[in-house]
Amino acid sequence: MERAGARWPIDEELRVAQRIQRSLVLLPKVDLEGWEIASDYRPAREIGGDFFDAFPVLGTDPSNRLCVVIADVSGKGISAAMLMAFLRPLVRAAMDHTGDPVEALERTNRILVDERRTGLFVTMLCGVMEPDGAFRFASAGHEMPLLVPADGSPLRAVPGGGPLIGLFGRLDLRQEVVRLDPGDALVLYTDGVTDAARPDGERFGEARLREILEGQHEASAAQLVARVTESVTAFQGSAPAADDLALLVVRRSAPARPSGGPSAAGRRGR
Amino acid sequence: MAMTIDVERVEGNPSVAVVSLDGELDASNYERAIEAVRTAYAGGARGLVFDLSNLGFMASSGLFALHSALRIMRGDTPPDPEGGWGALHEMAADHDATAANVRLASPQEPISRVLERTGMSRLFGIDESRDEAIAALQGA
Repeated sequence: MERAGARWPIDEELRVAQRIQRSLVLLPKVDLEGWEIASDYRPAREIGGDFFDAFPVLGTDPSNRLCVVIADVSGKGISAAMLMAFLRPLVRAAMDHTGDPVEALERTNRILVDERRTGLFVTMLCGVMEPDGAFRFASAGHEMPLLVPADGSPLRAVPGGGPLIGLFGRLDLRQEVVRLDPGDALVLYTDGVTDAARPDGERFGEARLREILEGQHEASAAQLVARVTESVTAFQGSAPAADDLALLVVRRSAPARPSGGPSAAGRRGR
Repeated sequence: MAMTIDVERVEGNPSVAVVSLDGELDASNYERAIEAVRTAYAGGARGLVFDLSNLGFMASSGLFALHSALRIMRGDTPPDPEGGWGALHEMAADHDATAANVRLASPQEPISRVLERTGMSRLFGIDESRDEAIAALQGA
């Protein structure tokens, strides 16, 4: 690229791209009654292809319907980051238009397959948190979300989904539903969490992820995110990150404690 | 992570390359797997078997390698994962066409699970053994 007659070094281009990408990936503050949202994103290289989003569903009543999206674009570096930048508003527009996660992913897939053939593909999970706690979602080949129940019962993976986006003309996805009771949290992540490796090559793995989330039923969304990312970072040690890491936790707000006792929030020191 | 790649040619009609992946296929080595397939195709192989019996782990970059192999064996140019926007617009072939000349042999359970979850299992013939995969390609 030429600027004022001088050639811009590629490092400078990458720094600009990195700043733009981080501004695209990081979540703006979403203040929606009834829900706590926390997230973290760590690209393996200067720029990455994972992304997430959380936003109120446009034009719907009740207005506190929250849409959440998490995705992992195949490939790394600039091409994956550019596809991410293309897809994120596409999915959002599809959700604004339809309010239906299945249709939003089908539309996104059709555009990627019919109009914008890239040869790359994407795993994506898109869902809507309803005010009554129901999470209606569709998953295109993405990792199963983990539900951390507030009552201390065992953590569970939420199954369901179909093929990833970008390979097939139709996904034929089904809408899946899981209910979050007050205080329950849903952990959405990309494979940068479970595939993280320490210097001797051992992977972090889903079993270890479940282990560190067990017993965290009173933790806030932010505390859950911190617990996972700190554990992954400590596990990796000096090993370089092999893949982008994206983590999004959505927690249905716990009811306030009866007056006279400490509030749920107070107990957790938030 | 550590992965060794062994390529064996099985002459016949078609000539088949058996690419054995031993270890873990991830972002650090998936380009070597693609390169092995590219070399085999350039050398005249028109059938491909990925022997996955000793592959214990496959990251999402491994899915990309398998799909790139499928494109190479169809005579297409796979996308350059390091390429820019130009690379993203160069594809023209059908995305969901399977490759009858690429088969996966003896994937372990964690690999099968990833292939099923992502729908990639629809794109490949999957066999219980390397020999069955070769026979399926050569019509024996």
